[in-house]
Amino acid sequence: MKKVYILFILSLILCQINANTYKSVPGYLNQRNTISLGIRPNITISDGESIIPNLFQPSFELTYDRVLSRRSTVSLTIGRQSFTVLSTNSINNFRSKRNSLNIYYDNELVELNISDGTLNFANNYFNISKTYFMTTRGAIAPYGKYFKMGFTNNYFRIKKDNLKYFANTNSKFVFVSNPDNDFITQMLGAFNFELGVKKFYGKHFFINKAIAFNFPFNFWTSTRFVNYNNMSSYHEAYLRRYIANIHTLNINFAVGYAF
Amino acid sequence: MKTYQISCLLFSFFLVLFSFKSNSQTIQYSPLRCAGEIPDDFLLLNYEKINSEFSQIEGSNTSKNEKNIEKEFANKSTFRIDDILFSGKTLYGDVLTNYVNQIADIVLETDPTLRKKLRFYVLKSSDVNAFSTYQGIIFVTVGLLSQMENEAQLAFILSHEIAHYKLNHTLNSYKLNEQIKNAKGKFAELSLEDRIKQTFGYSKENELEADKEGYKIYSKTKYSKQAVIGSFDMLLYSYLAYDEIDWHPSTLQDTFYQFPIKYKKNNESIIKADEEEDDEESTHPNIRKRKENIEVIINKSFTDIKWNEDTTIHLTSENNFYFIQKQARTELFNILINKADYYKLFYYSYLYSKIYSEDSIFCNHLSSFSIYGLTIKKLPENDDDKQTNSNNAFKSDEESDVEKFEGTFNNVYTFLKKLGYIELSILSTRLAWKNYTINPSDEIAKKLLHNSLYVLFRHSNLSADFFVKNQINDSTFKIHSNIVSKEKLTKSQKLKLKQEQQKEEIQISEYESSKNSKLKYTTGAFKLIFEDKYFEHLYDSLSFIGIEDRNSTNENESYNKYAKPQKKIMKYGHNAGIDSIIMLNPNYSTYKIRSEQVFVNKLMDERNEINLAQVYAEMAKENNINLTEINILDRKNLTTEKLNEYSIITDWLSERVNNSNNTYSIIYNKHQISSVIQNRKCKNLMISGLSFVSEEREVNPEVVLTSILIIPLLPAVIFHYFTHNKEVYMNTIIIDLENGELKYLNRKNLKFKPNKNILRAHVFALFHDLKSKKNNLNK
Repeated sequence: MKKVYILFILSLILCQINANTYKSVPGYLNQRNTISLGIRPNITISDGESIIPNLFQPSFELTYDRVLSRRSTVSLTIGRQSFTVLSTNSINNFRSKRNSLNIYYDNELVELNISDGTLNFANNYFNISKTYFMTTRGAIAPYGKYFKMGFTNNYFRIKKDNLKYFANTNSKFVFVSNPDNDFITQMLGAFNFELGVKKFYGKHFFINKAIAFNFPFNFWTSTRFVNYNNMSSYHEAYLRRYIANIHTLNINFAVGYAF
Repeated sequence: MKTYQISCLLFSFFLVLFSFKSNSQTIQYSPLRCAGEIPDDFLLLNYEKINSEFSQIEGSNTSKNEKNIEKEFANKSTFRIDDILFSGKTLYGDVLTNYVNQIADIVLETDPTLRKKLRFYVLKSSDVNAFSTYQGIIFVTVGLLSQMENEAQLAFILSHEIAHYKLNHTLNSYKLNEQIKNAKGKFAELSLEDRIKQTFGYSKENELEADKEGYKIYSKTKYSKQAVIGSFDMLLYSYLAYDEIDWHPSTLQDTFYQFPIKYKKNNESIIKADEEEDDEESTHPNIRKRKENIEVIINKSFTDIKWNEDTTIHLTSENNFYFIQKQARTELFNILINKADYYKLFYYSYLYSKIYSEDSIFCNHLSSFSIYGLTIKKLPENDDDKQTNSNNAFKSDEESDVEKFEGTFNNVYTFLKKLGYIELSILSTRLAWKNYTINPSDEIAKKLLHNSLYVLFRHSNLSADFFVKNQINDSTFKIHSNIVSKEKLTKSQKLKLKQEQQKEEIQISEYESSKNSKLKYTTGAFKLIFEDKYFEHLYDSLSFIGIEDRNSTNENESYNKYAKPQKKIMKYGHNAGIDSIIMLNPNYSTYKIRSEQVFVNKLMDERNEINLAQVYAEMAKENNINLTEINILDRKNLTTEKLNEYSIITDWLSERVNNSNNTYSIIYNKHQISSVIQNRKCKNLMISGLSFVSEEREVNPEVVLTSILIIPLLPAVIFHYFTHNKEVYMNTIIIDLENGELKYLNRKNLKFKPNKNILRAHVFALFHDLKSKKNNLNK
């Protein structure tokens, strides 16, 4: 998504914040702002490999909520996740979905396989959402049960490619390293939906628990039957799929402060 | 000589002054209120009382099962008594309660230990009753005190109630009733009908036993033993008014205002009181049995007593007794006003005026008020009702109400029932005028008159000239009404007479066609009153306003000067700009519904109410709302003044609620509520509370089956049925104490479990809503 659209959405939100926070909004005991620090475990189950090393790839996020009315707030979230993909099998499985990676080696187009190593990357994401509190369940923004809808932009970038590749050429196994170390930031947009509850303990502190659903915009994009001609494109496509998988169903746990 | 003349002059002056003073009467009576130091019964919370009861029960030598039943009874009865103590109707420190305690002191002079255990209070109720409780509190109603014929009767009744306490009848009855209800022990094999009969049987045994034991207590006093029999006679007729004096509609008539003959028919019904009535389905034995029960004891213990010496019926001052009797009868008026029982109010004001003729002005005021109240009660709810049911104006329930009551009261009741609202408004105007002329400075008298006249024209099809004014030559009218030969009249007299007849015929034909022929007899209702120019002027202006408002198409137009039918209900989210509130302690009730049974934990509710009151106070402070509490649960800070304010407010609310037509209702004791407003410097009364209902969910087999077939749904379904359906009902209203207007209404039915923080959020939001102001309040 182009940056100009993001600015447009932000300005709309700011206008709404200004327009709607009139005096009849009580918030929680006159507190109409909250800030919270949350964690998402991002449970990952890789197919084939030992699941334990990849089971949790937590992301940490900071959320600011502004009460708009008795039943709604607007949320702005920034988060970060650092991934290390240990299992090569998941990458190989991506390959095995009839995607091929071919590079020129010794002036010859060879197909690469991955034998060992790690792939490190980081994902910074930004989310804008509107939260609706279930007033029939006794909620008053920002307290109580809610559902949240919004848009997330994931900006992921490969930090380091420590994978070991081998090419099957002329019946010889060769290892090549990834010559392409100049990685660019990729963007993956997603629509998010969250069901949760915010419960206050005392006047200011609260705990937020939620189940989140993410529907990436490339969900429908097929990641099969693609021929990649460089490792970066190959990994970026893989990561796009990987992030889409781990974010699809998630849980969120946060502690926060209202003011 | 000069000195003598001066002193005579001065003496005459003071004599005149005194006579003026003695003739001036208070129009309004202030209801009795509590006075003096607040008793301990009002200072302890229920859980404290129950803990103390429980520790006594634990210390007793009964079986575990018995102890459990006693604890259960103590729990239930303590809350029940607390409800009575804090109903706003219990008195202490007033003249009636002090008198009852004085008689109790005499009765228990020989048993000071027992006297210390017992507390006596008067209950503001028109029922003729006295009852004792397990905890040693004995209530005597105002109705009973009004019926007493002498002090000895009260002494015997108190002795009877003391005997109930001594013999532990309340607890024993409870235990027995539990056995009967659950068909345990010797009742296991009886049918339900037989078990119910057993209940009545045991109750009657208790009464006879209490009579005997009560007599033993009574006999230690110096009161006449024979007076006990008089007590039973008094009880036999206690369902009737405190006196039986004939009444006839002609008391309301004058020369030009005569009721039709069918209205004046005597409907006095036979008094059915019977000493030997069938008491099979009664909790009390009939009077004959009770008398016989006592007569046996009297004959046994007083074989040597000469009856003509046994005449002491007053041990304190006789004048004091009659003063107390009069106070009780006066207090009945306020009770009847609160209940909006205008039929009885009218009759009792008549009785009172006959018995206490020096208070006739006060009684006039009350009878005017009662007829006005009846008029308002009978008004149609809207103009459509008036149009479609034009006979409502003349609606009576003759067929169902004949002999509904006994004695003279039935006569009064039947007569008033026959009158439609137009006739009543005419009668109300007449009585209001009579009342007003005596006390033109009294605000309520003025309001009664103005309202009666306005209501008459606003809610009828009558024109202003329906009522005959004193415009014609009196002599001509007299000639018309008395049969005189026309040959003796001059031509001009004949013509005047003919003109008058023609006018009458037009009026008759006009109103007969509109079914108002029934009102024909009322045309002269104000004829004598029109002689007063002020009334004539008032009549002209109010009839004009009333007819204008009647003809107005805009329903919201009204005579703002006299009544404001404003119904601005503030919905959730609309801001009232209220910054000071008087709050009655908020109510918190919890109900658990399991297997179609409702479980209530009143101890927990009491604690929750205390906490909720604190939350309200905190959240009001957060919102800078000046909240003054009349919190009867704050027992540490409870004072007599607070209890009296609480009582004033409950009385005011009863009057409001029972007079559903708020537009024209006049609050009788407005000065009392004004004193609360002045003390608290606020006129907004908030009544708030919440109920939490937790209910088992009904298992739907189809849903369970579906969830077994679709496995992922199963955990959700199990969770759904294991958790209970929780609902919270939160209601808040704010009423303006000055004019009874509803200023704010907030009703919520939400599904959540109320914990402290979420309640704080809701209460905060409520006060925030009240405090914030918006420009447009009329949505």
